[in-house]
Amino acid sequence: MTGTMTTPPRTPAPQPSALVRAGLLLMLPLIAAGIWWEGQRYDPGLLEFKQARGVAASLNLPATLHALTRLGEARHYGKETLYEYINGHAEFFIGSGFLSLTVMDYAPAGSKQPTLVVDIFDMGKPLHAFGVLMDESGEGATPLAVGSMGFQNGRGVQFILGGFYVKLTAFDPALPLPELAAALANALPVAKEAALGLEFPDLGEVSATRFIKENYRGMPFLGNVLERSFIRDGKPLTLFLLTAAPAVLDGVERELIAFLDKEGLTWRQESRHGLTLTVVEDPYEGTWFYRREPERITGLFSEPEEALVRALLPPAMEAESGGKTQR
Amino acid sequence: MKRRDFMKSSMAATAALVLPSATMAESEPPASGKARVQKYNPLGKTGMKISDISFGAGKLPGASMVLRAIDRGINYFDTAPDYGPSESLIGEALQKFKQRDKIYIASKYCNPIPYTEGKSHLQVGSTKEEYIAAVEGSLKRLGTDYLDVVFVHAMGEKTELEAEKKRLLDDNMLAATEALKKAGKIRHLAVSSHGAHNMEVLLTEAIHSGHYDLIMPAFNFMKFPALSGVLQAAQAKGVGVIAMKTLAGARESGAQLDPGVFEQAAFKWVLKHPQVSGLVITIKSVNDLDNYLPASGQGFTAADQRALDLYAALHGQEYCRTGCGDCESSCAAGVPIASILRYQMYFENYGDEKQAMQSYAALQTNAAACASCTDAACASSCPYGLAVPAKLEAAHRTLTLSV
Repeated sequence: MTGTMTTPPRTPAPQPSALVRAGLLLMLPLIAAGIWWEGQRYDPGLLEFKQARGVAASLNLPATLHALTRLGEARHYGKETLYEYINGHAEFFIGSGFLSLTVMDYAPAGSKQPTLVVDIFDMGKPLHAFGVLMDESGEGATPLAVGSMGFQNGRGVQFILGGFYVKLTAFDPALPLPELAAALANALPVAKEAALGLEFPDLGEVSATRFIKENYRGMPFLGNVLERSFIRDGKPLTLFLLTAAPAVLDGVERELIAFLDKEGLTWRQESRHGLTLTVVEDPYEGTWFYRREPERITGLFSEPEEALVRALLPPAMEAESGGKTQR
Repeated sequence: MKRRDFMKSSMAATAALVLPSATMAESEPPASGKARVQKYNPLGKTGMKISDISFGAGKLPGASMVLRAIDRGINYFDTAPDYGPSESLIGEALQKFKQRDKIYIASKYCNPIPYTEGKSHLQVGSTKEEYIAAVEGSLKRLGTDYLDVVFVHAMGEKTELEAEKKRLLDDNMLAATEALKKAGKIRHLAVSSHGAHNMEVLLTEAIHSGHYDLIMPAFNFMKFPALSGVLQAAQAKGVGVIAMKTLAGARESGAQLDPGVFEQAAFKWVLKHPQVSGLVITIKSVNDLDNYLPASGQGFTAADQRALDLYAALHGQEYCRTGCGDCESSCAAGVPIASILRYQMYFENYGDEKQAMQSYAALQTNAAACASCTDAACASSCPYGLAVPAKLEAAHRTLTLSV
């Protein structure tokens, strides 16, 4: 049988009405505004040299500290002017999340010669402030109970509280720096819940704490890692801590697992005391394991010994097991 | 179900409750085919035979990276007292590896202070004891009793040729070197030069002095007019050559090349020169090993040349050739043009913003006045066509974070 096939007449595709088209056009500014709004929520850890006034620029800080009186007004610096104040070292702060700096000079009553200089860096996030403190405090610094964490080194005190990194420099050796630092910490507008929030398990004597910005142990996807070294039963033990939003940590963990597979490292997941642990057999690092929480990855370079696993238990279970945390 | 999905699923939590000590998920069979070193070359008359692609430990992220690199066949590690914790981390790796005689370690006559030009590198006026103390400090941090190589580092960082010649052949340095060799604490003396001034002259002087066993020049496909003569002189004298700064500024080539393609091409270009025994490249992550090592032992191909041509087309008029310095004499105000453009490169391309800004801040004459300068002599001073005045203005803005 033969026949001819006829193509049915084409029906023009339905076109949106003029009203709909006008509505779509009107939505464009809204979309642009949304993109702009999202863009404002940038990570201050990235280099961004445009004007950025942080919280420190509007601080209402004390005019007197113990017997010292503030000389003149506080000076404020942003990313674009920080270089004027710390020539040659501005980039370090900017690369670490710097938002703004407030500087105040204090002197004894009636004197115009400052004996104390206070630098308050608004680093945006507690983690950024912590990273700066770790790099700036030096190896010989003595721990000081001020803010979330502090150190004294000769005539200087550095401490962090919330997203602030605060540095006090004394030119009079008789100044009671710890008391001055405590008074300043009390004056900073930081809610308790904004404190560092980076409790480390108490695993022994702390020998060092470091902040690693990128390529932690050569893994290109692991950045902004806190590492604490302990001496436990006479042996070194290293813990690492990574905090971020759940979605970010999901991505990190995916990359980590892909990396382990690509490198041919054996790993397994175990359930211990209700915790899910990922244990890695690594010829270069030795055995190590980590626990993933929604906003936190805590790892230890060690075999998953019972006492160490217990140290990673969440607070409620930790209390039952008699565990402790430290900051 | 894919493992990664499994990990995210609530099944994991359920299993955790139900199974007190169960294995919940585990690794897949190991992947194979990791890139590794394919070729080792003799290094002058030193008796050393080094991996053609070797490890620059300026940004070493951990001891495990050293062990990974050793496993991939790298046997030469370049470190320095002023490279942060680099020496200590290599020492930590050595404790695990234990076979000290299987790898070569090179360090520098430097102080362990953060990089500051003219301060961290021992200068003329340093005593013999200070040179010895620098090496002993390195040995202590490395946890070893000898260095295979010690470098007089960054020759040519100052404009004055005679001053640098004095540093190159400093009596106290040479006396310290002899004493350290006798004590078995060092094996070979070397000199490095990134430029920016008189690199060829100084390296030639080093070769003919008879004191140096190897040189490490900045050397890459972006041409160094007189360097081939230096390489030939080194070969004639049995002085080994290790190249550095082989990526010509290490700019991103964007999406136009796959990861590693440009780097491998650049390495193969360097290694095709028979006088060059190997190259040192900064390795910061496992990805770097994956991207760099496929070039080991491979010949330079037409595809490599195309990759380099593409890079040159993208960046050739932006890249200030290390060791060139032809522009320097053009500025009546004495602005150290090549140094400033090098600092700009450190800031923009190497991610060493802090070092770049510190170095710039330490200059006696910087580019602050270039914006209002009416002398056009520098505009035509670059043999490669770089727009020197505009680049200086931009560098000043970048290195001072000014608007």
